[in-house]
Amino acid sequence: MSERGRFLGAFLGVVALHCVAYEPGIEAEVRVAGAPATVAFYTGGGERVELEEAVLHIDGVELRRCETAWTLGSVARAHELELGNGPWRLDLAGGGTIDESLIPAPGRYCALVVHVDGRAFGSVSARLSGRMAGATMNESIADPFDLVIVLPAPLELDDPGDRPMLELRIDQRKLFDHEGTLAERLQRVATVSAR
Amino acid sequence: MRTLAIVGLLLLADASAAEACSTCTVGDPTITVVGVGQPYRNRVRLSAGARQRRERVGLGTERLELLEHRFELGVAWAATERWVLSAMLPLVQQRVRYPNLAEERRFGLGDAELRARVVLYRDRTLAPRHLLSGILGLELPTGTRVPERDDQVTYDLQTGSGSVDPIAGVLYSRFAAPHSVHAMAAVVVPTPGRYDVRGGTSGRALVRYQWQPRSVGLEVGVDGRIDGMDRVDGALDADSGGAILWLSAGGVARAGDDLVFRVVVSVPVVQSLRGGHREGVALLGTVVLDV
Repeated sequence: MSERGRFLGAFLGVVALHCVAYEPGIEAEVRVAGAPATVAFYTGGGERVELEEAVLHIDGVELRRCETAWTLGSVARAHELELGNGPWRLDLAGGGTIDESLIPAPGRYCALVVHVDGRAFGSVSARLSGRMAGATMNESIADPFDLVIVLPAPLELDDPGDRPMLELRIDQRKLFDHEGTLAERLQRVATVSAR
Repeated sequence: MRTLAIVGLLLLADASAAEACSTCTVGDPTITVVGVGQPYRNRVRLSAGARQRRERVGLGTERLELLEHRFELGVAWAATERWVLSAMLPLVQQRVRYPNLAEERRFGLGDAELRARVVLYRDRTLAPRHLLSGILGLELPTGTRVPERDDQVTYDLQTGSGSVDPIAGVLYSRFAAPHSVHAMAAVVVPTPGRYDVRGGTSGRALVRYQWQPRSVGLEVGVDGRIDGMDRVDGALDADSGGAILWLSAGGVARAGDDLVFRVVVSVPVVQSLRGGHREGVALLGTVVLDV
């Protein structure tokens, strides 16, 4: 090959070359789950409950910054760029779980927020059905609402290697131990752990 | 006048030597880079440029940061004293930082550019004082297509537009050594591209003044750009387009007869770009060789 040919070959080789390298950044794994499914359980008052359905329609899971953790509505969704961010149908009675990977920006996070919204399914936001103390039970909430669960300690995320794991447990067995609307009781039985 | 006389004497004394010296053949000592020089038949210029720029896209926690380095290889050939044909091929290295501190590094080809410049008015053949040119060109979709990340879409941070983009403009140059001024206005009309995006029509203008008492000189300039909105899948993208104005300053130098260096720093002074687009300081270094 002539010198000109070699030069041309090398030049074309350089221009045809391309590459992409990706280094992951901060990622937070979030699991939303109920208590282990059981055929029946007893309330704190001793009443037998058989849950057929404890459905939550979830539109999104959000890690919320400390400075906006107590504001109403969706202010700082950390998962805005996340694919597969809802909607999900989670049946706590059936042992369902949601696993979500969030890609939050650096910051200090104080709460996990679950947006409960059934509109994407053309359904109610939350629904309970089954039998309680031998009687049929049906309870639902049509309007969207948020569950805001405060983290045990603020989550400081500032390094690309930060990979916190958050587990939100909504214990459906304790829903009948509290007074209030279904949304208020869901809020009271939800706990989060971080590691 | 003294410079002109010297150049004229040189031409008379040794035509072949004069032809070998671009400045002598042009009859003007002004240092020019590819695209604004005084053309003469069969003038061939090679250029290599390195450019760095920064850009931020998006607002708040969704902001992306781009650091881009372009290495541009160019060649310009004056087919006649009126027509200059040029081609430019960029190699692009980008670093994109995502809101969650993830980083993507890309390397590949940018969009090549073909241009034809025709001199519409020249007040005299040797050492022209006024040059008015028309510019026609095409940006070709040779840019490497960077795979979009499913979770972090960045179609507007590709290495090229992905479309054939015609360019038309006018360039006026005033040479009055040691002073020179270039003014250009151009419009780019993108066609539909491969990312289902049609870039908005873009108007660009620049004015550049150069003071060059010796073989080195200083330049200052103003660059402006007004971009129309992109269309994504046929719908206007409200996060695109806008206007930006740059101030630039730099220096030029000549080594020998045929080697030119240029370094420019551009600072955006007015930015009204939509969608949280913010441009940063840009640096440019160019070497031009007359062959």
